[in-house]
Formats: sequence, C-alpha cells, structure tokens
Amino acid sequence: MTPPAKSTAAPEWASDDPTVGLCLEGRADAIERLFRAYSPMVQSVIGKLVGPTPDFEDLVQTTFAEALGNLSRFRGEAKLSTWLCGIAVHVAHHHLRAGKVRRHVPLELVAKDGGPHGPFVAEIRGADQSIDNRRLSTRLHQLLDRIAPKKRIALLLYVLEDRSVQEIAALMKATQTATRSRMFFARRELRMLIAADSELRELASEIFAKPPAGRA
Amino acid sequence: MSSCRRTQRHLLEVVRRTASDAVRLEVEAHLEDCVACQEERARLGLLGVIKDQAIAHLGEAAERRIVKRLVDRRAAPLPGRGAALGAKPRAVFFVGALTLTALVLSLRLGFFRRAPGGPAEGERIQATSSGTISFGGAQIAYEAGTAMTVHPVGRHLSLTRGEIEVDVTEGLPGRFRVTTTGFIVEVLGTRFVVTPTSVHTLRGHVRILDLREHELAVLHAGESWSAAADAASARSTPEAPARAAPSASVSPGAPDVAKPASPSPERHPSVAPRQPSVSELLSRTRAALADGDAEGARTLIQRARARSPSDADAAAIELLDADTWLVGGHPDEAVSAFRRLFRRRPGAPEGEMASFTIGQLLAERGAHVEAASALNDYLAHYPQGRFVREARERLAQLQAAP
Repeated sequence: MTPPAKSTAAPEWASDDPTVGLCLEGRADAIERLFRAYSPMVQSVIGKLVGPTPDFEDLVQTTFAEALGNLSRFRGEAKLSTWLCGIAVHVAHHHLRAGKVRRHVPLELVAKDGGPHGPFVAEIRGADQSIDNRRLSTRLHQLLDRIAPKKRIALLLYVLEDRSVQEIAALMKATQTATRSRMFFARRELRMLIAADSELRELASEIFAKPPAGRA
Repeated sequence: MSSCRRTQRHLLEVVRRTASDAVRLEVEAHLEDCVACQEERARLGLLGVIKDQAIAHLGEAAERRIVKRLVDRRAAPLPGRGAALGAKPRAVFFVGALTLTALVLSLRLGFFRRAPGGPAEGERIQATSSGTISFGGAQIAYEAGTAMTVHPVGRHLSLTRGEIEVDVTEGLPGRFRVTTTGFIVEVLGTRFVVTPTSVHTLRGHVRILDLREHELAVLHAGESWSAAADAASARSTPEAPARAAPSASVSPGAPDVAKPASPSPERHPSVAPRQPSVSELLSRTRAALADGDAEGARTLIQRARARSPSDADAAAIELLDADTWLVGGHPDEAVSAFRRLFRRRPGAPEGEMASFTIGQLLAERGAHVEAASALNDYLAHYPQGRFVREARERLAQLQAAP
C-alpha cells in the first residue's frame, strides 16, 4: 500500500511551552520562533484550501495575527498545531466566502520541492508536457471557486490534508453528518464541473485512460 | 467484482491513497471493466495532482515581512485583513452592548410605559377594527372584536376575547407573557398567534403554562396547541385527573384573567417528542445520499413531504428526490425527475440546477442530440445562469463529436 502523502508535519509544542508565554508578552524572538515552527503547516493548509493567489502572504499573516491575538484563550485542550490549523481554516473560509479570489500568482511565491513527487506528477509529465502542473492547479482551483466554500473546504481537507471526517468536523465546527454531506455534494459538483471543462476532461482521460494497474 | 456504488464509495480513499491494499485492488479490478467508474476516478484523480504538487511557499523576504508586522502588531494594532477580521466581532459586540444598555435604560426610565402613541399601563383595549400596538419590545396585531388589557411595565398582556399575533423582539430583559383565561404563553423572542383557547407558533418557540405556572407544552415554529384538545386528551387519560376546559367567560368587574375551571396542579401533561423539522429531515436526506442510501433518503423525503414543507423546501425536496434516482443507479428516472422539477419550478435555483443537470446526464449517457437540445434549453432559459460557461463548452464538445 502506498503510504499516504502526509501534509507538512508541524512540530508540537506543549501548551505550557515557555515560548507561548513569551509570545503573550510580545517578545519578538518568541513570535519569530512560533512563526518559523508553524508557518510551513499554515502555508500548506491555506495553499491547499485557497489555491494559488496573490493574497497568500496576507492570509498567512492574518492567521498568525489572529492566533497571537487569541493566544491567551488557548487552554491546551487541543494541540497547538490543531488550534492553529482551525484558525487557518477559518481564515481561508472567510477569504473564499468573500468571493473575490484572485488567481494570478506573483513570482515571489516560489514552489518548494518539499516532498517526493507522486506517481501522478510523473504521469502528467509523460502524458502531456504542454500543461504544466501549476496551470492545472490554478484551473482546478478556478473550478473549485464555483463550489460553496464550506463544501470545498471539507472535501479538500479530506483529500489533500488527509484529515478524518471527525477532524474536519471539529475544525469546521460542524457535525460529522454535515461534513459528510458537504463532501458528497462537493465531490458531485466538482465531477460535473470537470466533466464540462474540455481541457481538464481530456487531461483526466489521458492520465487515467487505463486502470492504474501496478501502481504502487 | 464489486459494485459501482461500492467502488465510488472507496474512490476518494484511493485518490488520497489511504485505502487498504485489499480495497485498492478491489477498486482497480472493478475499474478494469467499468467505463463510468473509470471516468469518475479520472476526474477525482485530478485532485491527487494538486495533492502531489509542490506547495507554493512564501519566500524568505515575505516571511521576514510577516514576522516584523506581527511583532509590530504587539505594540500597535496592525491595520489590514487581520485587524478587519478581528474588528468586526468587536464592533458587533460594542454596538450590541450599547444597544442593550440603551434598552435597559429605556425600560428603567419608563420609555416603554407610554411610548408616543403606545398604550398606558393597565389600559384596556376593546378593538372594533383590526390594528396594531407596540410595547415592551413586542408588536401586537389584533383582529376586530379583540378585548385585552396591556401591562407594558411587566411586558404582559391579558387576552379575554378575539385573536392577536405577537412578534416579540429577542434580547430584551424579562419574558413577554400573554395570559388568557385558561393558560399563559411565555416567550423570549418569537412570533405567535393567540386566541383565548389556542396558540400557534410562527417563529421561535413558546412555553405554555397553566395558571399555576405548570408547563403544559412547548411549541416550536409551525406547531399549534389548543386548550380544548389538551382538555380532551386529559379526559381520555384515566389515570390523569381530569382538567376542565378553560372558561372564556369573564364576569363584569372581575379581573381580566378568570380563574381556570380547576387545573390540577398535579397534572403535567407529557409533551409528545418533538418531530424533526423539514430542514432537519432534508439534512438527514442529504446525509443518506452521501452514504449512498437511496432508499433511506426516499423514506426521509416522504416524511418531509408529509410535514407541509414551504415552497422553498418543496423545491429542495424535488431536487433531492431526483438525486435519489441518480444515487440509486436509475439515470433514466433521474432525468425524468429533473425534467419534472424544471417544468414545475423554472424560476427556482433548483429548477436551474435541474435544467443543467439534464443536459449533463444525457451527454454522459451518450444521447448527444437530446443533450444538446437540453443544454440549448438551459441557455435559452438562463442566459445569465450559474452554468452558462459549462453549458456552452459542453455544447461545443457535443457539436465537435462525431
């Protein structure tokens, strides 16, 4: 069985970690340490939920600003990473709900080869060199923009972030039934949207023309 | 070989690569022969592309900028998105607190005792024609022939005759009460209709008490209660002490609220378990569909239909009904159901969705001519619709197809 592609692993600080207290005091070095420790995880979550956008930096900053502003309320009942992830999901939802997601990406946002490329990427490169992955991602996110933010976030947290339904329900403050329902309808709408998009449909057919026999 | 339904259920697990080897092999075996599931897998598989794609990360300069702003923010609030996001709840809280203070002061200073044009404390109203009055944060619409006495100070109204519709604003201190000759209606914030013998809740919920303040029932939106029916049910219950129906007669000079015929203090009639609302049933229907349980969804739809749904809910029910056919593996019936929905409700969002879905389904089933016709119908009916771009693209594909 292929090991699941894990999202960016976040370090775990204890709730009584002295850095948390120092952040509350406004110590610059502590704030930087918090940011450096959890920024990859937050960037990963926002990047996957919102997709390529020039507002990326703004969204990451907002997440940490909200976190620092509410750090005194963090009681350690959840892991710090889970708590921060919840804020990132809320910020992403807030942004998507506004309905003004811009899709051109500044050059400053660089792609980091953070993990091993999976078989899908290798196949894409072999299948169609003319469409590069980033363009495909942008195209897919443009379609996802047409799906209601709550449904979209539930589906993407499940597929891209490997979160369980229980975790997604907790992050989105919804019931598990509602979460399953959102995922179902997001999946159906996405299927219909891809079916109606000639470029993506052809690409999907090319990549997955044959059953993935032998794929690890 | 596994079924399409089972395969579809596991496809997301396969795409995110958390399926066990057994499930993955089962799915792959099914995909060998099933074109429809291959297509579904191909489309969902594109999500796997995003998953595997290198994640865009902020550059070092951007990260330094953020850290600097975060540190600066500790000294002074940072303008921008973060501040805006946090500022909104704070502003709402601030405005809410101000409003509440003003309302409390108004009550204390007696503004509600006699608002301009409002009733005085203890004023008796004998309506010869219908009208409205406002006091204590409630607006009361009354019918001709209504007799009542109002008590703005205690947010209380005694109804002796006729019918009133009360709309109570939420959030004010104390409870608003309507007293009749046989029972009391107590609310926090809601809208309801009261006659001396019955109550019907339009919004929120109300508590019905007997005159000794024992709870008789809790009514939610859309539910009704009648004193006569309550008394009849009391009589038909041998072990419960009989309670006479409330008397509506008021002797001259007597207080507005006559004593009840003798409501037994021991009797606390049990309230039937609350039936799920239409929206709850629809929510459960969606969940059943998400689990692939078409039969369960159909049962829930029948229950929702039996509860006299609103027009908007009825449209949602019809859309879900069509979905049950789709989930149940009956695309022809699904197309028929979507057609019916479109014919009946062309102006509703569900009608638009149905119209586009007909074209999509027909195209996927290879009925190119019918699909093109359905998509043209969609474009003609909804030139500014939500799926115009997809419909045009699909039409172009159909025309290009041999």
